Amino acid sequence: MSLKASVGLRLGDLELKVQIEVHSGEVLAVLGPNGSGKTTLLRALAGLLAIERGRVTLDGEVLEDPARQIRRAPAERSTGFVFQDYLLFPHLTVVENVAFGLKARGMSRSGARAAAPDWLRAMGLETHANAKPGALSGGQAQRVALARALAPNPRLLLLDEPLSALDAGTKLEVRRELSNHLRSFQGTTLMVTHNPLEAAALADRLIVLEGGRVIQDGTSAEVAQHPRSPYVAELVGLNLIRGRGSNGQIVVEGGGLLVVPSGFEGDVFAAIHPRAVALHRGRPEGSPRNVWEGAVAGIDLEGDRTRVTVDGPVRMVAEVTTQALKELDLVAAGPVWVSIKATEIQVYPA
Amino acid sequence: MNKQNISAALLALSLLAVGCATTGDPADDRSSAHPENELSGSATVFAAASLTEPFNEIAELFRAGNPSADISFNFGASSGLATQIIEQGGADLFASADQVNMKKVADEDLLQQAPRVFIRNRLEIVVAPGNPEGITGLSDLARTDVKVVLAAAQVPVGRYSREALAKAEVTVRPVSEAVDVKGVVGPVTLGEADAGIVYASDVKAAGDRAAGVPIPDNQNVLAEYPMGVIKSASNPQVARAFMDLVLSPQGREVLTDHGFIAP
Amino acid sequence: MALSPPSLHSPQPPPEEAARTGGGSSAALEKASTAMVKLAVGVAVAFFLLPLLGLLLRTPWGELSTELASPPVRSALWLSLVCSLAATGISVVFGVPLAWALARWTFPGRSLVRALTTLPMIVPPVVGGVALLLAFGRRGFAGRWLDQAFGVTLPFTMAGAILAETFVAMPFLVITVEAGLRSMNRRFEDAAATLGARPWVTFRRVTLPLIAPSLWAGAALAWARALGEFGATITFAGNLPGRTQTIPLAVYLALETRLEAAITLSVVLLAVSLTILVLLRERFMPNL
Repeated sequence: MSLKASVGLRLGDLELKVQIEVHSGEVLAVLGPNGSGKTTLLRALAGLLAIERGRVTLDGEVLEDPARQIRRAPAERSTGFVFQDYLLFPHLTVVENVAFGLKARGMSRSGARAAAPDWLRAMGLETHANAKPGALSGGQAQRVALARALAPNPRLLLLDEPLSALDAGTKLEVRRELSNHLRSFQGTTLMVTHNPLEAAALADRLIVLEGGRVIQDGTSAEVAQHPRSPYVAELVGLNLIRGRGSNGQIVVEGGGLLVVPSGFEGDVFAAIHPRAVALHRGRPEGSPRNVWEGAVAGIDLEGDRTRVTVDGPVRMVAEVTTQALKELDLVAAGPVWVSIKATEIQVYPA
Repeated sequence: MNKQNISAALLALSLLAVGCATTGDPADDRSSAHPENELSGSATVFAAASLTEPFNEIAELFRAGNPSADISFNFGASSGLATQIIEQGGADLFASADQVNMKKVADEDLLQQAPRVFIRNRLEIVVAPGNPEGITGLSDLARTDVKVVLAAAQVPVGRYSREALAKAEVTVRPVSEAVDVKGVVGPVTLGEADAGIVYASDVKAAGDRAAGVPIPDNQNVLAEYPMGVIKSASNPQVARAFMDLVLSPQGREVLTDHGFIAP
Repeated sequence: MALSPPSLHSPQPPPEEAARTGGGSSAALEKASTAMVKLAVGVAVAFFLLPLLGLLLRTPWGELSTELASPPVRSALWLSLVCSLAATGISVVFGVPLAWALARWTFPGRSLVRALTTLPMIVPPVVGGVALLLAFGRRGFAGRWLDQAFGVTLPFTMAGAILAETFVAMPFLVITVEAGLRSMNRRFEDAAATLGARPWVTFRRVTLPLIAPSLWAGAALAWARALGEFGATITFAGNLPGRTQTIPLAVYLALETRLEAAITLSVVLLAVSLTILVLLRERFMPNL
């Protein structure tokens, strides 16, 4: 029981070529930058976009197979779709919105009327049953959208950035609720997001889409530790270096040399946490093997952390405390020294 | 007063000056059919729809004789024209298809002189070319298989038509009541109606697109067409000159060529 | 004109606002352009108001009820309402699918079809009436067929009057509904589809309610156009009291003889149509 999809299609500049397999009860997060094809993938699975090559099967049933001229219309797929902007029907009340799918899937008017309030209660929305969507807050609208999608009991649930339209305050609470609902959902779930924290909190597994291709998949911990593209590295906040390893050294692509624990030969990635990068005003003494001189290229304050980008033989982001920032007077001009312990560098095959 | 009226009034004023200089008394000049006396400017003639073709022709003659003067027309049902003249003005000369509507204008004291009958018209039955329905007289218009269009009783030709039908003791159930005489001819030439009662001149104007069936004199109605210059005319000289041309043998010939009858 | 009392303004504008309106010349410019807009609005309102005033000032109010009671007026009014409402109904039934096709389908010659649809708005109605005669008249190709196959003749009949009114009115509905279909968020239809709604259900339960304001506006425009229609009606359907003589034709003929009667008829038509529009608006478009 699972979703097996091989999706090939062209849409404008985007060429989507993706193979995924998601089991029942599993939540797969789809991460990727804008324009990478995340939403396009969801729309294709829902049948809102025709695929040109490939095949989509859900629980063994073929939904689409262009080679065999099979294509189920969106209405004939057991799919629930939560849109980024929810798309609650503005002319219907909350309860009518939730009952819409029940009625469209053949439930009688009275049956739908009776079933919809249960969903509203489950979402804590029973007092808003007769409100129009325009009167709801962002979090309430999101819950109605989820209830509407889940009410017909779909086998495949597609969530397109379900939390992105919410403000930071409600986001956490709605995320917790969503997590509960997803856990109790029996079907297969795909969730598009560009937030790795959301992916970690809600999904069992994630894929990273770039330029219409899957460039990485795995659990969120795996992906966070071993990013395989600058996009993912930036997302999870790591320095990522690609090069050729031999004899405990990496020849960095674009110049530079990095001393690493030995045992890695050939094309490798090296991931370095910014906290492992130390900055000095003078040449440091002691054990660090990787030491070079550079210049401060940028300073970003993120809450109580400060990230300093240093240009040198290898461009590196360092995380320093606010106190260190002051002591080293990094705002002023002049050379800075970068040092990284070889043991702090994660190396894995490219 | 709009811009056009103002310029027309200025023109009239200058004309008056010229007229005074040349003839001394332009108001007494109406016997002159010779348009050589430096007429200029334009006059607007409100004329019955049935006069469309002959008046356009006479206007050509007028322009040929008076290169710097011009005539423009407002053709329509006389009743509507009378209402327009009373309500809005804008006419220099009014040529009506009946006395009733001319009288309405005269009763409002809008005419310079008493109107003059310049031509007459009689009624005819208009039918499709070749008279496919074999209509021979007014009594055939009562046939149920004949679709008849009459002008509405509110317009002169409609009133005359009903007078003629009354004289012939024929009751007609028209399929439509046209708002003017051209609205009777149109459906017949298009084949939508089989017959209608119009002026003889209109049958002639339709050329080979329609044929006429005469109505005997004892049933017919003779329409008299009076015309008169409007008191508030912006260009009475040109208007009067045009009226004189219509009344001249030359003008009358054009009218009789179009099926009208000399008074 | 509503001006907010000066006490509501803080005596000194906040710094940003001062900066925004600070340049004396730009403030003066803004003031001048506002004045220009107000002037234009005034002229436009006067332009619509004065003719109405002219009509109302000359209305013989005492005769209004007598006029309304007279059988010819009542039959003309009745015909006007029946024909214009029928024309509006036909326009909706055929115009909405046409608008849908124009908005949603891509097919060769679509812009040609759209131009064809707007043709009746451009050609003089009398020409439209002649064109209808040439097609649906006794000698017209379609009319001959209708006559032979069904024994139906349209010219000089009430059906003909309805046809003529539909011809001039439907473009207004098609154009308005097409604009509504184009401007609506089509992803609502996607949402309905993912919820299991077939195209017809989606159209009826989602699309139609979402474009309802356009549909009502289009229908109201079409109805107004049909109600006032003169040229095509008189050319195609003729003018026969009790059968094809609608109010505009009656008004035109009354104009031939008695201006007061024409004015009275016009005011009656005006009052009836305004009443219906207001009632419809309150019933179906409370937000407008």
